[in-house]
Amino acid sequence: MNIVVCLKQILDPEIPAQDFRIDQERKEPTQGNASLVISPFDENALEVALQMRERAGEGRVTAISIGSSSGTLALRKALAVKADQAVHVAAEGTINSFTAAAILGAALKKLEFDVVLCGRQAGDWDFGVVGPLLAESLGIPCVPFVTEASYAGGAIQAKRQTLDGYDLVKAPLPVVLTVTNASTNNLRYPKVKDVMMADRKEILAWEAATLLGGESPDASIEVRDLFIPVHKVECELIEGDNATEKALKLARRMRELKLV
Amino acid sequence: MSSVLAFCLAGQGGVGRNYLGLLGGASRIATALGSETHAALLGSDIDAQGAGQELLAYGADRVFCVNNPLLQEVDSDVYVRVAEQVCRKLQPRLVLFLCDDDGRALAPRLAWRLGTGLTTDCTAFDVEDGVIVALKPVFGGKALARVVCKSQPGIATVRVRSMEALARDEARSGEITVLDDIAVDASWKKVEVLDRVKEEVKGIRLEDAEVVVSGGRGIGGAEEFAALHDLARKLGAGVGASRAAVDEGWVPAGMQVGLTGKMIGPSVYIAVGISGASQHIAGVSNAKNIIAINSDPDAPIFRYARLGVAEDYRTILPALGKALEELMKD
Ligand SMILES: Cc1cc2nc3c(=O)[nH]c(=O)nc-3n(C[C@H](O)[C@H](O)[C@H](O)COP(=O)(O)OP(=O)(O)OC[C@H]3O[C@@H](n4cnc5c(N)ncnc54)[C@H](O)[C@@H]3O)c2cc1C
Ligand SMILES: Nc1ncnc2c1ncn2[C@@H]1O[C@H](COP(=O)(O)O)[C@@H](O)[C@H]1O
Repeated sequence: MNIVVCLKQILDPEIPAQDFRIDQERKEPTQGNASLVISPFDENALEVALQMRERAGEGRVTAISIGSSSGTLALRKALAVKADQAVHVAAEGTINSFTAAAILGAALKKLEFDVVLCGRQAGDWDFGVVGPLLAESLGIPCVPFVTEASYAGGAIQAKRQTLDGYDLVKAPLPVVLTVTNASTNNLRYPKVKDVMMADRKEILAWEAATLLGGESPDASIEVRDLFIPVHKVECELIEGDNATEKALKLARRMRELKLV
Repeated sequence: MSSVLAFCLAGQGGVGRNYLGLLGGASRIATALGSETHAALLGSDIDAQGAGQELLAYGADRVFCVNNPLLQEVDSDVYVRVAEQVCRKLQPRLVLFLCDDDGRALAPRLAWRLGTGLTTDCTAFDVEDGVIVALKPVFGGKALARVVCKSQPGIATVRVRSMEALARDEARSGEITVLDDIAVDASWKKVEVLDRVKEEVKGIRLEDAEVVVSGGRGIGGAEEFAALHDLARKLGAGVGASRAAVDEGWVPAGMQVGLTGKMIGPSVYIAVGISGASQHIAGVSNAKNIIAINSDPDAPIFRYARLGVAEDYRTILPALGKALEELMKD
């Protein structure tokens, strides 16, 4: 079984709002002190891929990432948790979700795959479209919001999260799964030795332009501007000598403001 | 005349409340464009007249219904082909979906089939010189983008609860058409549901609760959530959680509030041991009053809160519960 997992490298989405800045010209955030990370749902997707391989007792996990030529951190991390292969697709300029889907689609034509895993949405632009777009462009089904999956009898069984629980579903191969977070798919920690090994492994270097054969994927959307919203709430911090007093004062204020 | 088309994916159920907000949004954009508001109602066993009248009363000018037993569950492999046929037939200017699980699964696939672009999770729309500009929170809500679709029809998914429904007006009239020439084929269905599992959630449904008490990583464990349930019981509140609490396995995923969890709009939201990440706040941007209890006085949550206590929740919650109970007696 061949599993391909799509990893986007992004600026840490956890930086507090007050430290977030944007470059109006480029319509992109500035990096500031933010580190680069694997987009969180892609970490979940990677964990699901590793679990699928373990449960099946066979299979190959290929991690693929599109980005500027220096962006291989996500792939190194994937190799450190024992992905079998890593592919970096270098692309110039802004790569929005639509361009990414087109490039991934072209890359998948060169890779063998039974299952493609994506995060449900990237933690930067929050589009959440690449998985379903890929499925449609490859003409295969898509199961969204998966938390766990295994390979059985030539098909995939997956837990798909619902509003109040989950569905157990069965899908034929090949298939695209988009992954959402659950307590069962937090990405494992790599062993120190594997991190060192990963640094020496080869990462296949592909070019987006070559994959696309000169065609430029028209994104069909345009970001006109990007700005930081202003929001202003004055917080009334309850003071007091001890916790009980604070709790009491809070209760009174809640009552006065008719909140309860 | 051009139209703004709102898809209402009914499946087996009726038209949920959130769709009325979607329709309200569609109607406002249509007015600004000088277009009509259309609703496409897809499902199985739909009472086309009854449900159609309801959609007319909430602002649709015309309702198109596709009724087929194969549309019982909202399976995107099947629904996308139906939605594609509907769009090709009606040629709308703008197509709207709700940004819930169904809309998220379907809208991008429809966009690909129609060879057009889409913007997801939009919270507002402007019409500028006849161009539709979608407002989309990005970077977890830390920024807003104004996005235009360069091809037609434009497609957008609309954030749950971001748009107001119009006031119900039974005097509104319009046409209800059952589309009986839309093909639906059993072979399109690829994914089989083997089992449906519901996770019991204690107390009031989050989406309906007027008061919500939510816990985050600061709660420290699954058992510790009992303190939140205690307070919630006293207040008649629902209990929610942050993603961190879900990832820790302390609470079921159905309790996650936020950008990729539930979008809720209670009048009071009590955030306990939650740092206030923008992705979490995105789920409560409609909450009228946020109360924060967090041991770190510098936690970002205080920037969103009306009332705050910088203390260990373990000492605050029991005393707060007791005090509120006393006060509420009077
Ligand atoms: C694309 C994307 C989507 C996301 N979607 C969501 C979402 O839908 N919902 C969501 O919640 N998050 C979401 N997140 C995650 C989000 O960015 C944060 O990681 C998460 O909300 C943090 O949860 P937390 O506040 O519980 O944990 P932390 O950030 O770890 O905060 C814990 C807080 O508890 C306080 N604390 C510790 N001990 C105590 C004590 N004894 N008493 C009182 N306070 C205490 C600490 O001071 C701290 O502020 C998303 C992230 C991404 C990238
Ligand atoms: N540049 C990229 N490289 C690799 N995978 C990507 C890239 N962009 C998006 N993806 C994948 O597609 C998912 C959804 O992205 P998006 O539709 O952009 O929100 C992500 O979680 C990734 O799994």
